Amino acid sequence: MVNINFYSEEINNLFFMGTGKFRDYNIMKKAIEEANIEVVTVAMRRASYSNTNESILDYINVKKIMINTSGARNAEEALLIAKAGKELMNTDWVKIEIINDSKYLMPDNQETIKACKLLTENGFKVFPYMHPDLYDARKMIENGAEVLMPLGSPIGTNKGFTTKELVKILLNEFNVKIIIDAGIGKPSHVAEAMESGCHAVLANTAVSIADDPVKMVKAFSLAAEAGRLAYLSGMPEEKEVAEASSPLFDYIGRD
Amino acid sequence: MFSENVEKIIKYIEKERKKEHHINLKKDFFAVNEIFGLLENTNLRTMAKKVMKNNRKFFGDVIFLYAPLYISNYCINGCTYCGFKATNKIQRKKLIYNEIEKEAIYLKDAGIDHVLILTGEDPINTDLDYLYNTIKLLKRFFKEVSIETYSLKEDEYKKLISAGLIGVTMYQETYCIKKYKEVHLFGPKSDYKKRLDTIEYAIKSGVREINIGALLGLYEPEFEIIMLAYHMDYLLKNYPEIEYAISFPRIKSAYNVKEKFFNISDKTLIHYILALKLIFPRVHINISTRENADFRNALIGIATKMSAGSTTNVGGYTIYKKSIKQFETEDKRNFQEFINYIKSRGYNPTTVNWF
Repeated sequence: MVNINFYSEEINNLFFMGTGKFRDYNIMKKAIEEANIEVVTVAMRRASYSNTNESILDYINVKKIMINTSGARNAEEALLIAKAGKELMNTDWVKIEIINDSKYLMPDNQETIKACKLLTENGFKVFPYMHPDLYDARKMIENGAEVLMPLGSPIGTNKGFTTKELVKILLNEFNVKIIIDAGIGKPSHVAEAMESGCHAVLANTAVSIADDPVKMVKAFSLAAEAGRLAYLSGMPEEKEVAEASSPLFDYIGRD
Repeated sequence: MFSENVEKIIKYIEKERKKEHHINLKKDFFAVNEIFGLLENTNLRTMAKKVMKNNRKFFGDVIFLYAPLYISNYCINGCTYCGFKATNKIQRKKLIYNEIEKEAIYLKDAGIDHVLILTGEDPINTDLDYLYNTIKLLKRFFKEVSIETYSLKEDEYKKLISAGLIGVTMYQETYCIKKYKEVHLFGPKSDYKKRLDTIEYAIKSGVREINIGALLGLYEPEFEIIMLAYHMDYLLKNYPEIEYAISFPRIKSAYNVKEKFFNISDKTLIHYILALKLIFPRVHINISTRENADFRNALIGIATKMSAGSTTNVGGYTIYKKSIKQFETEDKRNFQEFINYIKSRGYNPTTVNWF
């Protein structure tokens, strides 16, 4: 099995799904069910709670919902959203998403650091969406984060795991869980992130706007599982030149 | 302030428009000075494909809906092109709070969660306290409340934000300084620079969403589009934290307005929209019910903000259905009909973008 604990909660499906961009809530629901998705993020600002509108929450039945503070521009707003989200969704998991750039949608690490502290003090389990910077990561961890969510590439771009070298530094340096969030476009990107030792992958655009989102979510889930299994199996290193598999070792025996 | 450089930009634009430009549509990103080339290029199909692809990347399959709510048509300005102008002898109305509540209940029941409050421009009849109380009242019903009213100062916007205001719509009407003077005969709105600065006052006060536009038809439309591009470019560079939208209102005939306007065909307008969207892929395009149903249907996938089920008269949803409208809407579908249509096209109509 490939299960991993996040804040002491055992999760078996390491593909986490964002719920924002689906064309139809029924399709989203089917995707969640057929791929056995266990963790989804829900943007509080889109979660309608009026009597007349259908609520996205009616279509979500998963192990853990993660409140997404999308729309927040500073730590205080993130807390406000988290509190409202907790009331509505009955969860203390919060993806801290603080963005002050409407063009590239890059996360604001400095406000996110403050939000980690503020939300942790208020009893939330934080999942900071961040730019993979070593110093900022350290501060987030010091401020209560047991998980980091570095972007793979800018939101919505489907460009894949372009921050890999920076994320590897975080993986080497810290004993926290790393979830790759944003920019993931294909199952192979998911597998790549998981093979690198990341603990989960979160995506929305790539699955929600696929021609067949239900199948695509399944593909992403399988890729997460495959990547994790490969990582756990200890993949052989890449080599510059071909090397025969046995001649000398067979002769002298392995140590 | 954008207004400090506006004359220089206008000079540059006039010079640039006389030249010929070429554009390579295969590129991923376009800079603001490529607007000239984009407007000269006639390969709309390629442009549209690129825009639709970008839109799906950045907005997914979601279209944001809102409804306008006219609360007053009192106005002290002399805008030659407007049915609400002070010199027009029309019955003036301003909704009292009970009436606003009645309209709000109607819209809420229809499924609306984002309203845009509109008034004529009269700081006495619709003073700051009235706007403040209206926003407070509407926040009991709706998640998002935006406003389109007369120019306010920074601290005045701050007061409205404290009541729950999220967004400000402010059209420059025309970016041509000379034309602006010609069509705004009197009243506080006749100050071009003040009008232009208002957007930045709103931003500095902490508003989240900004919607800008020019009233297409007052002056040469292509000039207006290029100016819009430069205005938006300035705003994005200086205030990147705001969620922006651009509207493309085409002027419509109104009560006791006799002027001749520039005509903009559907195809030309679509060309303008595509050109701006290639430069600003993350900016919303807002298409109101002022446009007809066919046109709006065609733009689903390009536009990401749309009004629905609108009336443009004060109290027009429930109380004064027959009162004078600011202009006639073309898309007469009610909210539910429009939602159903959006769904049939494979998009998810969303009524909220903030809480």
